[in-house]
Amino acid sequence: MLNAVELTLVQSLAQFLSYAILAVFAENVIFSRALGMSSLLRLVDDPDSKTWQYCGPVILVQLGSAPLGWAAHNLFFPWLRGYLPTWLPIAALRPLVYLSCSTVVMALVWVALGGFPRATRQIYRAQLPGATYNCCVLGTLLICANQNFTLLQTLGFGLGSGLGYLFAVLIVDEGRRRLRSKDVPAIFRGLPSSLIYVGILSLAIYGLVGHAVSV
Amino acid sequence: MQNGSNKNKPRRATPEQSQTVIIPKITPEMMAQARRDAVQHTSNTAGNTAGNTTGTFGGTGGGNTGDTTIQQAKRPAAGEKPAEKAPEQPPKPRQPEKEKPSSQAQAQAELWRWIHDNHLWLNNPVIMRGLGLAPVVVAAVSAQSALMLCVAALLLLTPTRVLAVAVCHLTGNRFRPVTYCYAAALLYIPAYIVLYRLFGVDLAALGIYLPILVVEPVIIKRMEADTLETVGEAFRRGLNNTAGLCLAVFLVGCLRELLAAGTVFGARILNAAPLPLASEPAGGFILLGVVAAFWTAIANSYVHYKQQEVKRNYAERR
Repeated sequence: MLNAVELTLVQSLAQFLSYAILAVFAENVIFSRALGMSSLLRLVDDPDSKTWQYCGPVILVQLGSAPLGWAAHNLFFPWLRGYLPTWLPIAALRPLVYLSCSTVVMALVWVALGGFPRATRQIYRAQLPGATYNCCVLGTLLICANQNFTLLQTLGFGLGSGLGYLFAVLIVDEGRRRLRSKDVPAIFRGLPSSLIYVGILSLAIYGLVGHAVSV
Repeated sequence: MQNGSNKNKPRRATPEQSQTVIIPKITPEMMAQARRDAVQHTSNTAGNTAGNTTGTFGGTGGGNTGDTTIQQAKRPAAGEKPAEKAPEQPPKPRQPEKEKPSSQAQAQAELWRWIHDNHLWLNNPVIMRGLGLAPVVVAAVSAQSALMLCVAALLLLTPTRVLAVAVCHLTGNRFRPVTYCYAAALLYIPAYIVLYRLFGVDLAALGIYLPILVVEPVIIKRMEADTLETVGEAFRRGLNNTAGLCLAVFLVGCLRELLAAGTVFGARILNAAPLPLASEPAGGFILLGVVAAFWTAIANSYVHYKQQEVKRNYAERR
């Protein structure tokens, strides 16, 4: 028999994992919400960029900024609301505050990368700004705030969103490789075929979930 | 271009042309003298185009040119004393003028530059370059949503680019990503207030796709470029990009509403909804892909035609 503390731990872990899995598959940032789609297409087209070099920083920044975003939504904004003039809605400040959360995490990751070998460090640091100022990162923070997730749910969803982005990059990369075939009509090569391909995958997930996700 | 270059060419003096400008003031002797001067000047300067385009006979070099002959003829007619021979003036410096490309390679480079700068159609940021896909695919589900996104883009894109470039000039082009994103986030504050005044609670229909515009590549893509553009260039390119983005958003928004509900701006156009899936993200991806394919086909045909035109025009010179 599990005691109360163990039960709470197991429940928390289950909740964390379920939100992470939800974010990877059913509410994938690319297939369900198209967040970071432009960056993804650029990434799969760029032969110099490696998937991990971009997605690694995305996952780190996403996971790190999740608790800060939660704190901003639940602690900072309620405090700030009392000081704001009536003509200035708090919604106008959300991007600025959430961007600041991501920037703080970017700085921390940048410092943490100092412990890596020089070549690795330089590669990851070069990708860090692009990974931080990404629709995927800011969009996930906004979704967590809109849906009033708890801290644990926010962490799980943040991690899942980062992993989901990696998952989408791998799938689109493979699809894009096959779509370079000469069998594809000339006018559909490139961006049109990629969009239709992602659309079909999105349709599959929509069919699996059975309803549209909230925006 | 064709007209401009013709305007600067030394023209051959014909009786018809001379009559239109100076009919009663010039004697036939003067006209013949001016014609001789013009021909002589043309042969002397051999390809040096004249800067003065006001005179019918062209040529501004020293000596007794057609212009001076005409001036001499005009003065007595206007009651002035005939001036003594004016001291020879140094030739005016040539005005920098846009010349036609001299080779096929130059013409093609100019064509590509023109295509690159054509953000409305040939290099549309959304449909040709795949920027700004998130709001177009998910949020632009109706003409009303598309209109809100267009106004948001209008308020954010160009001002962000101009502000960020101005700040980058001050900071020596360092911290570009931070500068661009924070410029967008700061400008989002007044933009949101304006949008809220214009659209009220309808703005909620855009959900997270309004605030994420501050990190949307169509707005902050320039942060990746190492070269720093001028503020004027930023303004011009920002406006071009805004026009291209608005066109794509509006087209997709109207098309999706028409297919998903049979209406545009709420007005019924079709009796049935032919494709309800168009309002979902999956439908947005597929529809945008099809639109992009046809758009690309038409744009590529036009580019091919222009390339062939350049080849034809420069075939002899190569």
